[in-house]
Amino acid sequence: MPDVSLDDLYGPSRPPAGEVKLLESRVRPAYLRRLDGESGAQLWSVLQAVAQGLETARVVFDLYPLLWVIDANGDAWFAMEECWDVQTGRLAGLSQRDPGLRDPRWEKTGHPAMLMDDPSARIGGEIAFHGRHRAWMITNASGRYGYRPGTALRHLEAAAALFALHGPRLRPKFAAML
Amino acid sequence: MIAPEASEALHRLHYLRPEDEDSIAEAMVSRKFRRALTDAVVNYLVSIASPDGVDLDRVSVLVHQLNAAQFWNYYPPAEFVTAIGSQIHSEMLFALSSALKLPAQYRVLGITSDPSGQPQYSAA
Repeated sequence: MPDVSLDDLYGPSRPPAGEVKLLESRVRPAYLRRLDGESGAQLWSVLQAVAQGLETARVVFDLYPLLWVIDANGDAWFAMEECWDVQTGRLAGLSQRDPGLRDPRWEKTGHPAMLMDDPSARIGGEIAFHGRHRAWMITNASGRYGYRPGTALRHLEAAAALFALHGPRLRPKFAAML
Repeated sequence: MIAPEASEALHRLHYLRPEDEDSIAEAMVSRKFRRALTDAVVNYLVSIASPDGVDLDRVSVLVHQLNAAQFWNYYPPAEFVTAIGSQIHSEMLFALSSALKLPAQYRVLGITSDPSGQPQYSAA
């Protein structure tokens, strides 16, 4: 598919709007997956289990962010936000965003860590469960890839369509840029 | 009376769930809730003493989630940043003022060591 179509679908590939810390430029999430038929079906089976009431799976997604991003090639990637020990360079656990619970040795891997050599991407955000609607949402909740000038609802809708093509049916929840 | 769901959401500003965003938006009609939300936002920003990349990213996400809830209509961004700028980490301040599209002069108030002292602001 020519780049012009990818630009139209998901927006142009651009550098992140905010800072990329050293850890995120050196570490890739240990459990990063590229969206394809297999990974999409596996992901959807887990997300469906949550929507159907499996609380032991829901607790993970209620506490820890599931990130997604579309890279320059138009490939979608997804991963849980991870914590790494910056002293040992080893995976320490899942992201602990709550300031009251964090360990100062840990840093989190955000969206830029999901991109290999070039931190540019088209759009990114989070996949989150809406407890009232009992539905999975795809959002543009990424400070670095979700609210850049020109990023529009139609780009998020195209991302949702890409996920749906491989299994996960996600409702777009778009927050407009200030 | 603030809905319990909205009160709970105030404790999850570091990772709001989609229904939290809805609960906050619905509760914004209450002045009492707006004061509680302002306190929670300030406390959250002040509590990040050594931000990593995700923390800074999170500031921008929160700014946009609060925008969807009309928070910035009640609390003008420039006033908010002026009130708390000297109490939050300089990188957090830069991320906050950038996300709010404030001019550069609002980005130089932040501190570079652990914050201390009480927030000095007034809720809308």
